[in-house]
Amino acid sequence: MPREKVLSSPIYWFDKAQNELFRQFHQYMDREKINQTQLADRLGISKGRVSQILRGESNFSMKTLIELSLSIGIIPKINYVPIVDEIKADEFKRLNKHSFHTFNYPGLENRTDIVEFSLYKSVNNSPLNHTISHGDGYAIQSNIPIKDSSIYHPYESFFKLEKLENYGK
Amino acid sequence: MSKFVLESLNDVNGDVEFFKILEESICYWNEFCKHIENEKNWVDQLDQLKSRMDDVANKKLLPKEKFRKLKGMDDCYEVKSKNLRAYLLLDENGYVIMYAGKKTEQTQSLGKFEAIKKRYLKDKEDAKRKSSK
Repeated sequence: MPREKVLSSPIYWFDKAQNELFRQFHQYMDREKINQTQLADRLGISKGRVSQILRGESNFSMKTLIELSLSIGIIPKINYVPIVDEIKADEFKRLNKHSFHTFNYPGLENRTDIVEFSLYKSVNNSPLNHTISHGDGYAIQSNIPIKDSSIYHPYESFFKLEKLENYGK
Repeated sequence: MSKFVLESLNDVNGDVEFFKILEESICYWNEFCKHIENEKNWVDQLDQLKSRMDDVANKKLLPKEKFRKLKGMDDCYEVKSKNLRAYLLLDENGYVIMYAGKKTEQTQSLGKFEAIKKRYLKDKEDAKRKSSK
């Protein structure tokens, strides 16, 4: 799966960290209404270093990162998360864009268990080869044949909703 | 029948949708990725582009060295890494990757981007005119 590959790339996370540091410094400068030279003076660091941060190209040691963060009144809180959990959370975010519709589908009302299972199956690339129009501008896709008012076992079925206008693109 | 198809970009996940464009079944983004992966030199930079697109999709501010609006071109943007460029059009669907290329070829790439964009917008306009008849 391409997204899984992206999320497993070290450079993806390194870039995220660099960009977050850029945003923190950018916000600080906005808040304090100061320019790059004033920031360098205030923190006692070179203009080159400030410029590096604001280009999103910093690669400091952990000690320097913590010192720089503290100097603008923040701390970098690092969370260690299993990659499989991150991939599931990412997939949940994607599905969640439409998932609230799932539970209005006949037979699927209040079935929160299906979402969790959907995540599991989608991470394992389950095929979604059955589709039915939902009448409200959405198409429901499933890994098993769909009939109105059917109730499916949550551990065998996987549902996803797509906006009809996007479906098949 | 439209020559263009927009396909959702699964590499990116955010509030704003990202698409890759296919013109008569040719996907310029896929071709570019394949080319970079075969060359093996800048695969890391390809992941950087995707990471930056992800931030754009999540409406996060990026340094202008990584993401910027193209001068004099409405709704056109560029995602950059040290040696690679991806050219985007923002339309009612979201961000559409129209073309991508190497920094050293950016003049030619921009020309191709503009030409694809022009054909795509004309195609959309034609489809709209036909459907209103």
